[in-house]
Amino acid sequence: MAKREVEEINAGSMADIAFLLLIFFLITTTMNLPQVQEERLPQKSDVEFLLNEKNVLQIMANKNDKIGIEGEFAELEDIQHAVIKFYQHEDGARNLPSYIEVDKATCEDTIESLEAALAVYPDAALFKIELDAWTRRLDAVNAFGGSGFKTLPNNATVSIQMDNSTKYETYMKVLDQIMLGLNHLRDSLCVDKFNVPFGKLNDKVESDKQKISAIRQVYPKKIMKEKNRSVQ
Amino acid sequence: MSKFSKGKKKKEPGISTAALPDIVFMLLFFFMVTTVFKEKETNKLEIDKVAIKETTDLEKNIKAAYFWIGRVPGRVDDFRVQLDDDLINDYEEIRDYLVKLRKNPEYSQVWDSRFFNVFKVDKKTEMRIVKKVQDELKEAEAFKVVYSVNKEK
Repeated sequence: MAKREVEEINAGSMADIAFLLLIFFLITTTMNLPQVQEERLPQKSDVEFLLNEKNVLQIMANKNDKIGIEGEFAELEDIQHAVIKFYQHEDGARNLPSYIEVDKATCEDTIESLEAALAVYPDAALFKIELDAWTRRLDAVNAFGGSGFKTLPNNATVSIQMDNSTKYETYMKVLDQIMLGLNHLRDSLCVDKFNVPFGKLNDKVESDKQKISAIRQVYPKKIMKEKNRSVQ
Repeated sequence: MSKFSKGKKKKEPGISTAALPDIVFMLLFFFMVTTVFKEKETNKLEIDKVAIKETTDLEKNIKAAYFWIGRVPGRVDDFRVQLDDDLINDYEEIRDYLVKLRKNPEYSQVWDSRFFNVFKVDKKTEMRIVKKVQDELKEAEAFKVVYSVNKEK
């Protein structure tokens, strides 16, 4: 009987296997980017908004890191519920901001009259800010497919007041709670309008970018940091 | 003629090494892609970062100024600010540093868009220190701040 010669293993497909693995890891590996919380420091501005007490959600922390909401002691977790209530409540509720209704006609009318006003007073900073705000609102209405929404007035803001001796950790936890509340609202609105959670939108994609700014128009992140001072 | 020949040794099949470069390249690519360069760290201060739930990824390709605020090792309650490689003695150094940074066109071109002040702060730091640093940032018109944190699971 003839001896069978043992054949050499064909290594040609090894490269394919290697590339397959390589591509698998390429796709599944996520890079751990540093995690951050963002904040924008207030610009020095010569325009002063009149603050109406009911348009401000006041959050404080004293030197012992105890939290206060609207002047009453509260727990850290209460902040996100207060934030949600501040942005989303029944119209006309006591001590909470009243909404402004935004739809296509209102936007166009307001923009038109603001442009007319700016033609007369070209240096009126407040008009410019308003014009800017209403233009962005009109974009938002268009992104929602023409349907209007209600939002808080421009001067509605969450105000954070920290004692000089408050720990940095408390400040970050307060910011975190505010963002938790805000992102909860943004998420449910985004699912409602676009069938996708807010966090899944990618700001590198043009169509997503419009959606992000539309959602932000309804629930803007407005945090005012008051001068640090001693809080009793 | 026997079925079990003892004479001639069987020739061993040689193991092909043709795939070795592939494997090496695969490993190389894998590590190239997954490696995250270690964040700039301080060795002058002890910093215990805060863990919070809602975080975002730090944007890529940014220009940044790094501020560390933490305890001087071995000393209790001695919180100091480190900017670049040195501890600062006077908060006004921050303003000068930023103004100088902005003169560099690499920074000035992206000042309002991609320039960030990255804060790495110990959780026990009192807000007065953070506030003083940020007052200087406002003077230098560097308004974008990010706080480096750990993600709470």
